[in-house]
Amino acid sequence: MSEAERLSRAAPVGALSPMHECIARFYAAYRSRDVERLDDILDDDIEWFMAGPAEYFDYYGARRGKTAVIEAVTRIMPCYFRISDFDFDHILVDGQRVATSGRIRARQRDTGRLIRIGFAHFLRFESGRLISLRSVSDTFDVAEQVVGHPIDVTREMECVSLAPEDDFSAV
Amino acid sequence: MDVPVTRQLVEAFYDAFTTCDPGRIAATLTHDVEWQMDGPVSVFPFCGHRRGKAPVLDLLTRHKAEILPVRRVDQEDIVIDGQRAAVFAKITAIHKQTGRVVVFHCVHFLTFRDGLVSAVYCIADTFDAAEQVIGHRIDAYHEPQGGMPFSDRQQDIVVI
Repeated sequence: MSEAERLSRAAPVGALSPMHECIARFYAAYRSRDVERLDDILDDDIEWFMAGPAEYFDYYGARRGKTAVIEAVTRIMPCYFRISDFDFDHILVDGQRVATSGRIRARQRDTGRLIRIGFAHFLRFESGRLISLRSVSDTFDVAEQVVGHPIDVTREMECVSLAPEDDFSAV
Repeated sequence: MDVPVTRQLVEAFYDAFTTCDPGRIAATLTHDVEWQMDGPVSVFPFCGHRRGKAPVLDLLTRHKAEILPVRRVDQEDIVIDGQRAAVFAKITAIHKQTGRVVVFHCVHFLTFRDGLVSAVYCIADTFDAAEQVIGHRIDAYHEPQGGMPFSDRQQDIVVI
């Protein structure tokens, strides 16, 4: 089943609107990690924000511009997991603004273990291109699935200095 | 015929939601409302699924309000499509045990029926919220010694 068919199944109406076509193109490009397809759907000046602990998983955080987003999708994210599909629960379309939610199916990079990530995306398109994406996911669940074990919240992260603070010659 | 969902209707729901007032919140919900909140119940025991006005009111005005009452919802983006609305928000809440102010990103998908909320799905940046509640940076890569394998604990940890 194509991405568009999956989208039409989740959409409130049967036929795909031009906006649903844009949504389908974006998620197909995102899933495939295909640079040409991403290049085709992303605006040059896209704003991209994924809420989450960027100090652990550096695909989280804010990025600006097509090059930075393509790097995040094709190089940084696959260091942790490879997306195999999107299952949608909601697709809301309001003009050129879109909100989606559902589950991402992915494979953890080192173990090949299947992981499922609950997500919500807010998308904005302009002239058929994505100009903004903001994402929220259940990041505690994502972290446990990516690291592969329960997280002990009482365990504090240790900060290790790479060089003494007063040793400027080492920097 | 369904009442049109407008930005004003969505904002009226949040005005009631932030009060923690059972009467005001009850006036915005259908009798069979469903409420689903994704998150680690080990940190946020109010996460999970509720069905029906009484359980949802109990969740919002007692269970959740006793742990992490919401003080403010900054609606940064609203998408409305038919009887559904999605809200991208920054939530400000108070961790009652410590008095800490906790601020985190959250998305709500609301479904309306006859001008009342009939379903809510909440998803939040729970790692960030957990660190703020716990009060320190969490070491995600530290594997608990002698702990149950993740696969055995998954059902307990990620009860949705």
